[in-house]
Amino acid sequence: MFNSVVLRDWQSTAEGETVLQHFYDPHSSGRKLFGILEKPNLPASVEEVSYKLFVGGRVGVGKTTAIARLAGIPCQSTYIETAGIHKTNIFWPVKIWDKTILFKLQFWDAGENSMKKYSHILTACKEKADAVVLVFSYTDAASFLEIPQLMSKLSQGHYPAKIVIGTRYSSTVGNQEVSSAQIQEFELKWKVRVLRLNSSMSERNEVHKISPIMNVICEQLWIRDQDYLLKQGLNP
Amino acid sequence: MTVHVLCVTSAGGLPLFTRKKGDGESLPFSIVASLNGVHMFCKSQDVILQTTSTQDTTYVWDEFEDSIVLVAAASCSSEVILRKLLNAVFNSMLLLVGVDEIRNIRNPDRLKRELRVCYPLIDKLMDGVDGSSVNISTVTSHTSQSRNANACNERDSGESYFCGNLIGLSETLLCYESNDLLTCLDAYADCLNSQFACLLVSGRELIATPAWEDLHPLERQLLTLLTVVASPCTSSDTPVFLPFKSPSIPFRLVWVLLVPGVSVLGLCGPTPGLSEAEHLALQCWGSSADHLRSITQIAPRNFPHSIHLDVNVLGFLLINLDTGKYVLSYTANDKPVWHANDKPETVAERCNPINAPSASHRLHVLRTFYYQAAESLLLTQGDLDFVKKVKSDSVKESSALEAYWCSEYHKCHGIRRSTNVLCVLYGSSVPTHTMRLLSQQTLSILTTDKQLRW
Repeated sequence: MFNSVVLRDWQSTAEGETVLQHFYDPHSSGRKLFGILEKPNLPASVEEVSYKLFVGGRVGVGKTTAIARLAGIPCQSTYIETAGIHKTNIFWPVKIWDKTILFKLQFWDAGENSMKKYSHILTACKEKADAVVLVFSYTDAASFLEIPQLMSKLSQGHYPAKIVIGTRYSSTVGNQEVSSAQIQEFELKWKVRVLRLNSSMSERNEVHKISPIMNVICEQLWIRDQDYLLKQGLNP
Repeated sequence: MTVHVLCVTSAGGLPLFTRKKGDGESLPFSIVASLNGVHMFCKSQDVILQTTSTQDTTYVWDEFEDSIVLVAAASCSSEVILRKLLNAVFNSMLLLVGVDEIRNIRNPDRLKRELRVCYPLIDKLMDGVDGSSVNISTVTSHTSQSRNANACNERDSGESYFCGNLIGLSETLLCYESNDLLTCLDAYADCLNSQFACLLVSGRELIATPAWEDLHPLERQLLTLLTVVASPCTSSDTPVFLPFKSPSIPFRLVWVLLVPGVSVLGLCGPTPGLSEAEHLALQCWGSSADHLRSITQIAPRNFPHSIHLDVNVLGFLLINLDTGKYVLSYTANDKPVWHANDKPETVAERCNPINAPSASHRLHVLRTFYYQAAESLLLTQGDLDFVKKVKSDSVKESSALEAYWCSEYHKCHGIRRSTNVLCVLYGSSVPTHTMRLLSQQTLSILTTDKQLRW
């Protein structure tokens, strides 16, 4: 079900580490948030692919924080409601077969209230999205139960890839409202792997904790493209 | 040093939100209820309750649009500042929610939810007051302890990049070579089909289109702060109302991060969309990337490194009353940031090794001096009217033109010349009577250079 196209531990290899050097921010311990006039300084031969991802999920489950974690940039610890649309470009290098490919993932995040109040926001976010990222919190059962409905609502149109992320995961703390059995059942039924984010951001090795998640996201997008090309090839 | 702001509906006294800054206790519900109750009682007797003070706390009430009441409570703050704070808080509510929702509250619960997006902005505004309320005696007594802690990793902590955050004024920086950027900005505004655009460097306005400069200073401050308090992102599209210019019809505030530390803001109508705005920004600014990167070096000094001020000047605050903008530099005589690591000792510390206050401390002192001395002494309301309305020399000025403070560790001196007010922070070794001369000199260096576009 989850075949591996993207080389999983590549970011920890010597080659991967060398490439990742171009992604760090010299002024902090994390990665750099690039402005639109820049990108990581990689050899010109490295192919770049760009995708739009729309992040959905119940209010307060930690969508903005999850994006900041994936981007490797610091974020506020207290809850802040997002005003309007916030778009974050995350660059991530992956190894597919023997090729290094630079993924430019454009995460679109929007505040719940802005979405309700202004209809153009949801439209702008959904328009031509290559993937929907559905976020729920392990400490909020209702947010998990909403996912299937949200998934079918947001996946209309041209078949975006589906990615599900559970935030505030912990194997030890007892406030988890979503059980592993529920997750398993969900994964089997929807054929989507649930990615887990714990709540504490560690300074050390943060990038290596995030890399499995980033690799899966990139892989899903890649597979979707391959499927699309295949279909085009079969029905000219 | 705690600041509280609470918001209740005028009609039913229903709490809409409470915010707190500082390490004090939250206000208990009974106090919130009494604060509202006493205001309501006075209102029923046709009395408007404005302010009261206890031994350590000042309370200020203000009602807006006959619909909501805001109450501020703070220790060591004056009524004037708190009233300004409440006005700014109300305007940030207008900015994100619009006047119609506030004027006619149909569903308080819904309004409560809608107001949540204002919290970061309100907290940031309260930050400015909290800092300013550090009174001078506490500051000096803390100096010796905090100096050691600050000296080691001040620059790493990013604290020296704090904005000035003076309520109701917009922060800018002084910079040469901004003319070609102005061309880019005009081109970008044209592409956006908008008259309103500005370029921000470290959260401070570097250049703006004439229409943007015509916005109310508070509007400009709030729009800028909105990008500062948002979680970091590459670009954003946020619906905003303009509290003074367009309180009931929203615009889209579109901002794009060009290079780290530099973003471009534009107020747009329904088009272009965010992706397209980003694309247009790439077209208009693509060739200026290196230039923009070099300009970020100017913060936190905020004026060109080629300008040298007297070594005794530790920091300054220059305000233009006409345009409502200011420049704040609290590292006026420090080495540029990229030299700092080779030589941790700054010029100021060398001249005055024991007493040099840290950068964040300088910000506090300058802000306090501005709020407590300069603003009340140099810019009394009559003055402001004078500046605005009567521009003839024949009118006799009656208010002060200069003000100063001396403390054990530093001195402050403020002067006003026509529409400019300059507050300078000096080391304590400067003779008091010399300050006037140095301040005049500094003012003329900063304001007479045409290329600085002050």
